[in-house]
Amino acid sequence: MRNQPKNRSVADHAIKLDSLSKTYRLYSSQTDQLIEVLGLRRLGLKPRKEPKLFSALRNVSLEVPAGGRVGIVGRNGAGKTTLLKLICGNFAPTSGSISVNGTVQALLVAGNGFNPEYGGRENVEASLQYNGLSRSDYDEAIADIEEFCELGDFFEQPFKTYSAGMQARLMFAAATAVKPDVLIVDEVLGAGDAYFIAKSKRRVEAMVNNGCSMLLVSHSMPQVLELCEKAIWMDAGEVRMEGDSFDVVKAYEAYLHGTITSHSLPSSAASNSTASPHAEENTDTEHSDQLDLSESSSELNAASAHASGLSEEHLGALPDAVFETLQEPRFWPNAAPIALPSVKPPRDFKFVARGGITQWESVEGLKLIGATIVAEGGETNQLISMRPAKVVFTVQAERSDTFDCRYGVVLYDHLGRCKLDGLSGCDTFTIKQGEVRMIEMVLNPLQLGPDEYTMSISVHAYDRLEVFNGTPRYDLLSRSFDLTVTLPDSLRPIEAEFYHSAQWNFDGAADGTR
Amino acid sequence: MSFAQTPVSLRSTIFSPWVLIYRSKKKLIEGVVVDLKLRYSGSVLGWFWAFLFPCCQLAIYTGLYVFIFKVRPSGLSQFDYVLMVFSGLVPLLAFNEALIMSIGSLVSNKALLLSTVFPPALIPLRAVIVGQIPMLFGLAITFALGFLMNRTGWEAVIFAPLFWLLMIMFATGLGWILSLITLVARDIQQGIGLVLMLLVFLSPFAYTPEMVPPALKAILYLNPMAYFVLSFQQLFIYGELPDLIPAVGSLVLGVGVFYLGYFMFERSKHSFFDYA
Repeated sequence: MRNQPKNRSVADHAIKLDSLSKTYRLYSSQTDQLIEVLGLRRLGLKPRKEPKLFSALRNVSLEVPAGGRVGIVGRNGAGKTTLLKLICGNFAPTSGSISVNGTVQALLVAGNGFNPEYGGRENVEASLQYNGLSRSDYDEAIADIEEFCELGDFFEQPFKTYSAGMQARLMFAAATAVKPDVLIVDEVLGAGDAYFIAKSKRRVEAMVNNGCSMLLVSHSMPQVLELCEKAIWMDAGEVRMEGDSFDVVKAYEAYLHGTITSHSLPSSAASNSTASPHAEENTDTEHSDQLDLSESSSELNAASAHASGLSEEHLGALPDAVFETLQEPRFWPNAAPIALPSVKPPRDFKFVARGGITQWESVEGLKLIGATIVAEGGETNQLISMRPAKVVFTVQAERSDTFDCRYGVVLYDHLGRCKLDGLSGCDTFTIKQGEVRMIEMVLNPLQLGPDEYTMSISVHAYDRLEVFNGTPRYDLLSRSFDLTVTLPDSLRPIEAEFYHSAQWNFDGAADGTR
Repeated sequence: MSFAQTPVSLRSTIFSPWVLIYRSKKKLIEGVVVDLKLRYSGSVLGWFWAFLFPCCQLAIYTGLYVFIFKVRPSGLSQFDYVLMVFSGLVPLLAFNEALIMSIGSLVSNKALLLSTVFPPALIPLRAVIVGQIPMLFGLAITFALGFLMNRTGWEAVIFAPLFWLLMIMFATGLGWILSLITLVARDIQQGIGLVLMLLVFLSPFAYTPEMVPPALKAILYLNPMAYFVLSFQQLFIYGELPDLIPAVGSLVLGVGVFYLGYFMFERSKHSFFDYA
C-alpha cells in the first residue's frame, strides 16, 4: 500500500480506495474493551456485554487522480474524518484496500506536537520534525512560517501566551510548510479572522497550483467550490453522491437546508422561535451570528444556530432602530432613466445553470414558475457592467391567501462566493389559488464586475432580517441560473469586482446625485 | 481481532527493527534532539538540569544509604560503597525514566499517529532514548569515580556500554508492549510507578547478594533488573567481567524482550490504535 517506493511516473492516481469499510466495536466498559483487545477471551474471560458494532465507513470507493483536488462534504459523523485517518496509514480498514502514491501530508489535527510551555520557534521546529522535514530544509521553512503568521516578537515567546487566533495561525503555518505530493486537509482552514482565512486559502491554492493533489474535508461550501473540482458527499458512512463539486455542493446544500426547514417550519410564530433539532448542525456551516450585509452570508439562508434560536421576546426588547432594512428608500444610482424592454410574466426558467434547477425543501404557499434576465437588448444572460438589467420572475399561488413576502436574488461568482445578496422589502398582496404575480429586480445599473455568475432566486415570508433563518421559505432555487457579466473594452482600464455607488460631497456640498 | 490488511509488517525478520531504525535514523535523532530541547526549554537552568537532576538524585539515594541506613558490606570502604550504590543505581534510574516515558508516549503523542511520515514504532523508542539521556551523566560520574578509585578497569569501558545497550533494548521492548496496552487501559501508567519502586528496592544496588539470606536469593533473581545491576557492579567495583548468570540474564532479557516487543507492536498496533 502506501509504503510503496515512489513510482510516481507510472501512477495515474494519487489516492485510490477500493470498497473500503471500517467497523468500530463499542464496548460498554473499559474492562470489556480490555478483554476483547488483549484477546483474553481465549483465557476464558467473557465480556459482560457483547460490543455494539458501529460502521463508520461502508463500502467506500474513491479515486483522487494525480494533481486532482477532491472535496468531501457531509454532516458530522458521516465518516469523513475516519476516511482521512485510514488514508494516513496507521489505522487499518476492516476490509477493502487503500493505495496512495507519493508523499502524503495530513493536516488532520492542527498542532501536531505543539506544547504550551515552549516558544513558537521551538514548537514549529518540533512540528516540522514530526512532519518529516529534514534539518537542512528547516531554516527556509521557519523563515516562511515566521513571515506568514505575522506574530512578530511573539514568535519567540511561549506558546501558552498566545491568543487562540495566534495559536491557530502558527499551527496552520507549520502544517502547511511541508510540501507534499498529496495533501489531506481536515477543516484547518477555518481558523483565524477573515484576513487570515483569506491568506490561508491563498497558501493552500499555491500548494495545489504546484501540482499537489488534495483531499479536503470542509463544511464551508464556497471553499469546496473554490478549491476542488470534484466532490464527494458522504452520509452515514457511505458515498451518497460523487461528481462535479458544483453539483454535489448544490445537492448537499439542498439536503442540509431542507432538513432544517422541515423541522422548524409551520408558519406560527411560536415554532419559529424554537431552536430546530438540527441547530447544532447549523454551527458547522460557519456563518456570522448576525446577517452581516457587507460581507454577507455565503448562502442565501445563512444558517445560524443563534439567530434561528432567538425568541420573539428577545427581539422585542430591542429598539426598532437597530433592525436592518433594505431597499428603502428606493435607490437608483444611475443618472439615466431605465430603458429596459418590458416582458410578460415568464412561464418557464431561462438560462438554467449546469446541473439544472435545484429546489430546496420549502413550505406550501407560493412557488416560482418562471424566471428570466432582461438587458437593454431583450432577454439575455450576457450582461454588461454599469448597464441596466433586471431579473424577472413569476410566482404562482398554491392557495388563496394574503401574503407578506420578501424576495431574494443572490449571485455567486465563479468561485462560488456570494457577490450580491439582494433581498427585497415587504410585498403584501392577496392572491387566489393558481394566479401568478410577476416580480422584477431592476439593477440600474448592474454594479458587479466582469465574471461568470450563478444565481439563486427565493421567496420568503416577510420578517425582520435578524430572524431571516427562522422565517418560512416558500421556494428557493439554489445556484440554478447562470449569467456572464462583461465589461466594454473602452472601460477595461477601470476593471473591478464591484462598482460601488456613493454620495460624493464636494467641498461640503452634496454633488446632487439622489 | 479484525484487522484485515496489515501489509507493512507481514514480512518481519530479525532485521526488521534494525532496518526500521536505520531507515529513520535521521528522524529518530532529530526527534530526540527536539524532544530534549523542548524538555528543558522554558526553565531557567535549561540544559543544566540534564546534569543537575541525576547528580542530585544519586546524592539523595547515596546519602540515605551511607549516612542514615549506614549499610557497609564487608570488605568495602565507605567510598567503595558509594561507587557500588552508583553503579547499580545509575542503570536502575535510567531504566525507570526510560520506561515511564515510553509507556506514556503513544497516549501523549496521539496526534503523531495521524502523521504519515513518522513510523509509530519509533514513538516509544524515541521516548526511551530521551528518558535515559540524563543518566548518561550519572554513568560518566560513575566512570570517573571508578577510575579515580582505581577500581574500574578496561572491561568496563567496553562492556558497560554494551550492557547499557542491552538495558535500553529491554526498556524499549517493554515500552512497545506497554505503551500499546496503555492506549486501552491507562491503569498501566498509574501502576508502573509502584512496580518500578518495588524493583528498585528489590535490586541489589545497596547490598550485595551475599547479604541476602539464602532462602530469599531466588526472589532476587526474579527481579529482571537484578541481572543488570549485578553486571554493572562487577564491572565498576571489582573491575572484572560479569558472572555468567547476570551476563546471560541481561543478554536474554535485552535481546528477547526487544524482539518480543517489536513483533507484538507491529502485529497488533492496528487493533490498538483504534482506541487511541
